[in-house]
Amino acid sequence: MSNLAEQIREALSMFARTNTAPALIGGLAVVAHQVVRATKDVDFLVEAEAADKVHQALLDLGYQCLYRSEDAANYVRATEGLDLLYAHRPLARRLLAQASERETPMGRLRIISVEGLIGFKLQGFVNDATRTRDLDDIRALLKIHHAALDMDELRAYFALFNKAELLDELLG
Amino acid sequence: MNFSDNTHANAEVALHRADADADAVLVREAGVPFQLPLGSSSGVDPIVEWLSLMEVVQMLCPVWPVRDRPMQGKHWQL
Repeated sequence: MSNLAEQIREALSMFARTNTAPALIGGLAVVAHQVVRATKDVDFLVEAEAADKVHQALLDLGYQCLYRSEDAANYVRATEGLDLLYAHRPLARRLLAQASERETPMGRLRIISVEGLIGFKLQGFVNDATRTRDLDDIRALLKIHHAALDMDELRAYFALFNKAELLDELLG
Repeated sequence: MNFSDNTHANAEVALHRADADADAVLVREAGVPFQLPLGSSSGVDPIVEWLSLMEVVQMLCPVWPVRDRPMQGKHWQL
């Protein structure tokens, strides 16, 4: 198993030990939703109430915390990174609760919905417009899953960030 | 040796390669546009495909830049 897979397997084991049920978001969730691209982004959505115990568990695993707020945290360990988003608003809590489970070579993973993933990608882009990778991911997810997407849910996310016209643009 | 188990999935992959956009090119696919067939019945697991891709990527680029600045922004709505 590769170092990257081993890192994810170790993180899943840590979440199980801390009785936390995260959902995969970010680049690896994009992969899980059929857009296979190179990424080393290990990003999880976790319930906000678990932030402290997960923080301590990651420190125990040798991670260094670069940044931590009520919304997000960034950890690094040598050449490995791990990012967390905290679900404390109703939308994120719902997306976390509705994440679907999947067996993977690294263990059982919970993966956020395509619509939710697009919402988080949009949030990342709105927060940092240099993250054009997020827009590329959204475009690819829209293209592949267009027929099955809940467009009302998607439009609500884009409206939330005052980007309603961007969705129409991305849909082409 | 029996290769028949993956024949249908491989054919599906090949068909989708032809349909995919040029901007979906992966290095591992040697420049051929590649998009996985949708649905669990295809027999292609994107996570397994990604692990395979990353093995090659890590051989070519053993050290990737790690995030050196925190997540930015004030627009946390989700």
